[in-house]
Amino acid sequence: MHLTSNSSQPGPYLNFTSSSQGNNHVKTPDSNRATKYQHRETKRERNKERGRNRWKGEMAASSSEGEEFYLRYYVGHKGKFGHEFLEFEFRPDGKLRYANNSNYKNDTMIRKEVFVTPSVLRECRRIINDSEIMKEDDNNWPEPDRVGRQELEIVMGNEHISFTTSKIGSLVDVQTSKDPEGLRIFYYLVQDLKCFVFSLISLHFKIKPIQS
Amino acid sequence: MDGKVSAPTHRVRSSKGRGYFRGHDFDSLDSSDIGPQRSIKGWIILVTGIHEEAKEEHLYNVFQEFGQVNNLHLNLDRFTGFVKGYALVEYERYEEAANAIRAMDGTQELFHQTIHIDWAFGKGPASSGSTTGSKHHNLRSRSRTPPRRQY
Repeated sequence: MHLTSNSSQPGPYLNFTSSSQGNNHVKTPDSNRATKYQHRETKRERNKERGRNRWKGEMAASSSEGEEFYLRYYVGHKGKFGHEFLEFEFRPDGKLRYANNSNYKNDTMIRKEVFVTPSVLRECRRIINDSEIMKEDDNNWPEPDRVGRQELEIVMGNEHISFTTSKIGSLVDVQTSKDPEGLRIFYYLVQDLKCFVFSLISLHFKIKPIQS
Repeated sequence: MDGKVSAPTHRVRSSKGRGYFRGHDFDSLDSSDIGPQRSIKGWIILVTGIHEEAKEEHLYNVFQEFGQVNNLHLNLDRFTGFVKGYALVEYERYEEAANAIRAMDGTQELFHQTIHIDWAFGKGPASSGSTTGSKHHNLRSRSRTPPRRQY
């Protein structure tokens, strides 16, 4: 997914929100896909150390409530228009922070933060658990490059992952990588998380245009 | 003071509903620091446990019963195309949102699958490690030092 710098809007990401109203990315629900996805078997061996920035700790089979939860996602690059990036963070105390920066046309940083309720954190954990990203590792993922980088850091109870990779332009990049299965999980999880965060942020902060 | 040692006030009150936000046990917090947070133009609730084949229109109709729904986000799973499982509903007034939560949380009226509803935004930090099953009243995780005895 490219962070294009060709617009003064935060970019294609704000269009990521919902739902069934005319959106390029809408596909007809595919139950075959859903089944395959749900029953996907991880053939990968589980390592104790996950990600390029490792935190050595025990692995928990699952996370339960009352355990620590932290999530941070970053995607960005440095170029003609400065350090353009999107970042959001769910903190253990419930604070959701969102930042979007670009100097395109001398634009400045957008920063939002709001406290979300434990229900929201719980739903975020569910999305993460369902994706099974915690079983993955970024060993074989493309390294960040000039085009950009993505970072995903999650703490869920005893498990801590910190993945770093390059930007993913499309599924082609996923399929031609050395770890298509893992990268695909990452790719879709990031999209789901963005949907969630953008919905929360835009609903909380944005005023809808006047409808005629 | 009469010199009697007394424990920090622990008000026992019977109350129903989402204990987390009732806040009766948060003795040291100003009441304006807790509770749901209003969003820019209304009050937003999070509905979870939504069936993957749910239709936005159906959801809209159900929640319209409690008040005018100003916004409804029913996001899809980017991989399967089915509904991801949550929805964010915005009402203009606090009472409308509170009624929706009260009436529908834990029910199976929609799609015969239990849904949960809660406020989406709060005024302050969740206490660490808190679980907010709606039946659990989150007691203060820390208490204020008892007032100094004065002899």
